[in-house]
Amino acid sequence: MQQLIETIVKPLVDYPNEVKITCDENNHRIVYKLSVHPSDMGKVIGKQGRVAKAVRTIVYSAAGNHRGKKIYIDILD
Amino acid sequence: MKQVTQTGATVEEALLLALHELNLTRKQVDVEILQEAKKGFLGFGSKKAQIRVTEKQAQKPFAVQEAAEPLQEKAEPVENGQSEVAEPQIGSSLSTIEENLEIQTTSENAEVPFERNDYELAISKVEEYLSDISKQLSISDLHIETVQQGKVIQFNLSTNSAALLIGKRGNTLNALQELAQLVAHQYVKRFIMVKLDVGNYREKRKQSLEVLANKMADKAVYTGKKVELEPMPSNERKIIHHILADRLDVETYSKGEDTKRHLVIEPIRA
Repeated sequence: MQQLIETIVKPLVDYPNEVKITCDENNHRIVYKLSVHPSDMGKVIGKQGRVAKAVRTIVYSAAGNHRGKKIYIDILD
Repeated sequence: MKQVTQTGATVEEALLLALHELNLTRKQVDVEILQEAKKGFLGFGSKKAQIRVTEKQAQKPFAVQEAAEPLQEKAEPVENGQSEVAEPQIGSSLSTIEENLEIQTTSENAEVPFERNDYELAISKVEEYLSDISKQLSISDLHIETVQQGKVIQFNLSTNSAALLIGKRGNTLNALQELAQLVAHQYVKRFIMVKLDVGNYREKRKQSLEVLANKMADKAVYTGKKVELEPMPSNERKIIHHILADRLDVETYSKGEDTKRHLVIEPIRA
């Protein structure tokens, strides 16, 4: 799953090497925390959060067949 | 012969600036448009207009020039004197600026033949992007077929697990399309449109939207109240607007902002 987020996000940013994803898991949910280079923040969020929404849509659809836990994506600043 | 290369937000603006600089009127110059202004998309890829303004050769014959010059001197003797003194300096600085601009324009002109190439680069990058994502979604039999028509690049995907790529009401497909468009725009800095389709989904969706649109229009007419549809992306709203445009008993418009934008069907009371 982490790899999926990386594959989605990396081609969108200017500093692909600074894309970092950490995973925080408990009984009910898995939270993926995404951090990017400060100047790339806008690129992964997009106007009105459109890009962030698109990324979440794809990840959630992939998560449907994934251990039955609710998945969240946080973008850290 | 005086010549200036000028940039501006629009061709008109650049022309005004250039005329001001040369102290000439529109009729005294030839204008060559080096580059039209481009608005770009969401602020990306916008380009300023660039024109080259040249003083007309027809002005050169001595009789005409001599006849014209005394008139000018009579009209504005003081100003003219000043400008004549200042002119050599302006002229030299202009020519250096001009040279710089010339270099820019030639490099920009040189980009034009590469237009095909950067499209191809963008297409291959998007294909790579899509197949990478599908691999992560554990789709192994993805096949991509690309059709490019002007500014529209259509990617037709086919796989056995199409449902996974489409998602509920095409949500995933639309999200992928949006991201693919962003990736394409990293390599092509002009307006292009990326369209995705999986196994003829768009056509099927169009048919079901036609059914939905007519059903909802009937409901609006029957109840006499307006019917609000759920939020949809612009291409789907357009389909419904288009279908219902032929019906005389209802009116359609869109309401709400961005992702909440949805279509409203209102009955027209006779």
